[in-house]
Amino acid sequence: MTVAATKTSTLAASKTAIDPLLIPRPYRVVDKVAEVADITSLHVVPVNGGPLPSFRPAQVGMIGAFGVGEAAISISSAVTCTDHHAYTIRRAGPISGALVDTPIGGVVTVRGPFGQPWPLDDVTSGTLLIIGGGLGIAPLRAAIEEAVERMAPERRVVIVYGAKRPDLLLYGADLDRWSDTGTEVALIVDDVGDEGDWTGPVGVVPDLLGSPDGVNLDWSDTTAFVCGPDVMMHFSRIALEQLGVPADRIWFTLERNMQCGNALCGHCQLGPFIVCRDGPVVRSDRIARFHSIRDL
Amino acid sequence: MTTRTIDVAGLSELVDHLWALGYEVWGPQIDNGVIVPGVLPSVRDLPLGWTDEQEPAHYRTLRRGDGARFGYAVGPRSYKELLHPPEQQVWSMTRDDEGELTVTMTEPEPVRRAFFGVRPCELAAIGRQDRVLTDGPHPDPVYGTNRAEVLIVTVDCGDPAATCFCPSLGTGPRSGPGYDLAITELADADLSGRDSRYVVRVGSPKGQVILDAVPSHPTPPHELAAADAVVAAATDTMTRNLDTDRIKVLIYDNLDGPQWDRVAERCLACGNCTFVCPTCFCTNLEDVTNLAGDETTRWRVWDTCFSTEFSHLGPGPVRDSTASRYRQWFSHKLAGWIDQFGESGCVGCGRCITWCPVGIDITTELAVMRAGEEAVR
Repeated sequence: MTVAATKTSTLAASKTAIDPLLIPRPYRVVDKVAEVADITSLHVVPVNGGPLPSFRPAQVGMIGAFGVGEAAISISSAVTCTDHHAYTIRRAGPISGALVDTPIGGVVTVRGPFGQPWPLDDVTSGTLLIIGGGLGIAPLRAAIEEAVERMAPERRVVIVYGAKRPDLLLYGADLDRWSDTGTEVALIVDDVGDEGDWTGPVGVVPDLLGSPDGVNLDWSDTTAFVCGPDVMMHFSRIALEQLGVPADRIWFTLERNMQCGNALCGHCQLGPFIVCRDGPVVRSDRIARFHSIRDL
Repeated sequence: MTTRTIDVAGLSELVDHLWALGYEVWGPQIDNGVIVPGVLPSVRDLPLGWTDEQEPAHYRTLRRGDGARFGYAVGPRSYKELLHPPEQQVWSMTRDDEGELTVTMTEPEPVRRAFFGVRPCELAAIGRQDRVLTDGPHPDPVYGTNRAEVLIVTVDCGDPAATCFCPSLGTGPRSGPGYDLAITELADADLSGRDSRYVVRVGSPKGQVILDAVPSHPTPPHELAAADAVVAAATDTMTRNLDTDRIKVLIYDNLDGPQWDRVAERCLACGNCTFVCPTCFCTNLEDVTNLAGDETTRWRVWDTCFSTEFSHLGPGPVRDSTASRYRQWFSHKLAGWIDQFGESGCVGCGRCITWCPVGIDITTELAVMRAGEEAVR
C-alpha cells in the first residue's frame, strides 16, 4: 500500500486492553521428575512468588522456553496441590526438548490455564470410568485425584490405562496408591518388551472393556473420560457405545496445534471445534463424526 | 436516516474534512497495476476512469471510457491489512545473566483512520472479523485498538467483476449495516468525471455530523431512482452464485467425499486464497532471538491453513495432504465458521477465485459437491 509521508493521523484512538491470557508469566522449575523413557514432569511456581492460578482438571497451560517457543500442555498435578503445578512433557521437538532440558532453578514462561475441563460435577451417578493411553494419562491425573477424593468409597472409580510397553506406563507410584486405596486399576500393554516380568494382559485398551478378564460395569450407568491417541479414543468410543454407555456420557480430550489459547489464531480447529475454546474436553457424540475422518 | 447528494467538489471537501478532523484517510488507488487501498491524500488520487477485469486466475486494470471514480471491484489487498496486520510484535522478553526473564508486552499503537470507498463486501468482511477477533471472551488487543475508531465510508458497487458473487451471501452490491456514510456514484459519462454525482446515505450519528460539514443538497427523486438502478444493474451482471441452501449440512456430509482429491490435483497449496481473503484471520506465533541470545521477540504473522506446519503436532502434521488442507479451508470458510461464529466466513468478494494461480473457483467446487449429492439421490 502507498503511504504518503506528508499526511498522518493526528488523533489518538482508544486502546483495547491486553488479555491476561496473552501475557507469558515467568515460572521457576523447582523440581523435575524423570517419569519414563523420554517423558519428564516439570514442577513450576511463579517466579514473583504469587499464588498459583486455580485450574480445573484437563485445563491447559502454554508453557514456553525462552527463545524457542510455547507448547500446550495440560496441568498434571492435583487441583489441591498448592506448592506447584506439574507439566508432564514428552521430548518430541525443539520446544519440548528445551522445556525438559530446563534445569531445576531455571525459568520457563506460562500462559493460561485455559480450555474446558473434565465435567466432574456432571458425574452424579454410577461409575466413573477413566481411560488413558500413553501420555494421555497426564490430563487425567488431576481428574483421578479429585474423583478419588470426592467419590470413593461410595462410588466406583475405575481406571483403564494402556501403554506401548510396561516400562512406558506413567505415574507408577500413583497407580499403586490409587489401587491401594480402593480404586480399580486395569493395565494393559501393546508389547511385553524385553523385561519379561509383565504378567498382565497384552493388547490395546478397548480389549479390556467388557471382556471376561477385563473391566465389567453397569455400562448404562457409567460415565467415561477418555484421553489418548486419536485412534485409541475412536475405538474406545465404539467399544463403550456397543457395551451400552450412553453416548452423551463419553468424554474425549482433543489434541490439535494450540498456539494462542484465545481462539484467535485458528490453528487448533477440528471441524467446527476450536479446541482451545471448545475443548480440550468435548463430549464424544458431538465430535464423533468429525473425529472419525482422517486428517480433518 | 438522511440521504443527500454531493457533487465532486463536495466529495473533495469530504475527504479534506476527514483529514482536518485528524483521520488518516485510506482509499482505493492504483498501485503496481492493481487497485488497492492506500493513504488517500485527496479525491484527485482516486482511480478516475479506471476499471478492472477479473476472471479465475486473471486480473487487469483497464480504462473505462467514462468519468467514474469507483468503477471497479476489489483488488488483492483489503482493509484487513490495517485492522489485522500481516506482522505484529506481541511482546519482547529479556534474559539476564542469572537466567531471570522479564516480559514486556507490546502495546498496540492506536491510529485513527477513515476508510473511504470501502466496498459492501469489505464492510461485511470487517463485520466477520469483528465477530471473530473482538466478540469472543478474549478480544484481540491489536485488532480491537485498530478497529475502535475507524470511520467507514462505503461505496455501493456499480461495476462488479466477473468473479464477484456477493448477492449469494447478502453482502452487496448495496452497502449493508455498519457504515458511517454510504455513497452511490452516479458517474459522469465524460472522462473528466466533473459532473459525477454522489448520493450519500447516513449510517451513524458520526456520519451525519461529517456529512453536515460539507455542501450537499436533498437528493431529488430521479437521483434516488438512478442510484437504485446502479445497484440493480450491478446485481444483474453477477452471474456467479454460491448456493447457501443447507450449506453446512451439505459440506459436513461430504467431508469424507472423493471431491477433495480431485481439487488437490490442481491446488498448489500456495495459500494465495487465504492471504487475499478479507476474512481469513489465522496467525502464527514466531519467536525471534537476537544474536547475543539475551532478548527474544514474539511476532504474530498471517498464517495459512495450506501450509504443512499449520497443523503440526508432535508426531507430525495432522493435515499432510493438499486435499486435507483444501478441505480445511473450504469447509471452515463455508461451514465450520457458521458453528463457530454464527455466520458464513465468505462474503462473496471473489478474490480467492481471481488470485488462485490455477483458477480454482469456490462457487464451482460447491456446485460440484451439490451436483454429486443430487446425482446420488
